[in-house]
Amino acid sequence: MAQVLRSTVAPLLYLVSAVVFFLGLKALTRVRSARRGRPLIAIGLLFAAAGAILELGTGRLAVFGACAGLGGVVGAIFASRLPAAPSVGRVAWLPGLAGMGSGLVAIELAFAYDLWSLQGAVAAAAAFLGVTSGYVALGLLRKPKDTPSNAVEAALVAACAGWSVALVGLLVSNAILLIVGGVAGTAGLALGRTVAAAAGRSLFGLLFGAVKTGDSGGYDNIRSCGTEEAAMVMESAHNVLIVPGLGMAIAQAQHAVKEVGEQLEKRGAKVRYVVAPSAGCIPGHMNILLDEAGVPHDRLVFVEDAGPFAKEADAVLVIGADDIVNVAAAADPKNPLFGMPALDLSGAGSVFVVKRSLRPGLAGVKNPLFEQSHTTMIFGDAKKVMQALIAELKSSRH
Amino acid sequence: MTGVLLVAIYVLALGWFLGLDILGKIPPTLYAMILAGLGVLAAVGMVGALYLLGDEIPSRTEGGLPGVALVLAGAAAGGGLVALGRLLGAFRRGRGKA
Repeated sequence: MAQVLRSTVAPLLYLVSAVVFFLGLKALTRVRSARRGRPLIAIGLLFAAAGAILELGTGRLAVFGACAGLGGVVGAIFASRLPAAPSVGRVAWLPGLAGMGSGLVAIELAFAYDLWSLQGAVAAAAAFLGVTSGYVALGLLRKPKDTPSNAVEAALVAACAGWSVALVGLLVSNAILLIVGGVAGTAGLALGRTVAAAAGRSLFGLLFGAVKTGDSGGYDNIRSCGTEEAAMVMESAHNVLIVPGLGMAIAQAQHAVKEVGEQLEKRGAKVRYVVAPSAGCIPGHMNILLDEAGVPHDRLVFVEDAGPFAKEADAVLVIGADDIVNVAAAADPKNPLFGMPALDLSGAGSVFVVKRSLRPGLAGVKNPLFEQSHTTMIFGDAKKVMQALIAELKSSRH
Repeated sequence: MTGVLLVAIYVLALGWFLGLDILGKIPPTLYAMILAGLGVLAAVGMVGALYLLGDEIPSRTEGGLPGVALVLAGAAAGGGLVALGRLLGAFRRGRGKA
């Protein structure tokens, strides 16, 4: 009976564990489904542990429970002290601990095998990856700043940890270690690549290139997101303010902008368009474009009168506009924008700024709005971003 | 060993593609969450430590290193799940304000 359990039920538990793990990880990659990810991953781990206990015998259950339980409590205590929205570098110690653990196991395995055999070499590689993962994670704990290279290092911590686990699985011929370790390893690498790409750099360039290039325009506290996240916030908003600028004109995005407005109105939102006479290439440029797209005139608000609307807006979509939402510059007598009408968005809910890059607007002045905590950038061509936003809004409607 | 090795290489190769596919496109706000999740995934490494606690493979440190490894992996799992909860909570609050 025990033999049957070992040979059939344990692999089945592993299989369920692997599938549930992947579903959980997949869920974590989308804003809408992220909540489902946590229980799935917990269940995956539970099944993996149950399968291993079944396969290897219940004799070591006590030691396993005591050690892993102790670790779990300690880890949970440290994790509960994390800031509410930690940067990627601040959570790197989690995969780092797992990698270090796997490294220790691999060190023992390297002693158990002849170091000059294939197994010995694999064990040494697993030990190296695991210990590296832990070591890099330790280094990241001392770097409070969230730079792109720190984020990439954090992703590589996960990659090394995963591969170390996979190699240990290869040594002990254990399927769950191989599969889940392999997936975590590649996923970590893919995460690193994505993080690097988001910073406009290549993975290698970030890790080994010390020279900082990239046009950050003198900004350092910028948050950016995709259209999915923006759509989620906007579709639950009651009052939406749309602030078009030169970027909308260049991208010829006025029709798409109008459709975004219509989609939001269908959800019961009150949508207002803020027009500044100075925005665009010619006076009244925005009026002309919005008129061409067929935006009803009663939706338009002049920038001088838009203050109260900005205060009650839950979501603001700034499309290719920069200087007309730069209050700080308009209030500074030394600034070329001094005295220009500008819309104060500091009291608004979530502000999304669609912009191609962080290059300053026409007047060449930095905009402090972009660095405020309620502001999120959406980088891209105004028309393409609007079309993606429309697709997200349509797909979420039932 | 070669038969096992071959299967293992298949599994690793499939895992490779799966990993790349799952994380093809991610919004930046989810990076920290995914990293915490990957920590829990890597915590299955605790299964590896179990092999050293029985008589399959002798432990030179009498179970010392595997025991520490279990504590570390347990911390990654427990910490990862709590961190995920906190991150998800912060996420909801952030949306609530919007």
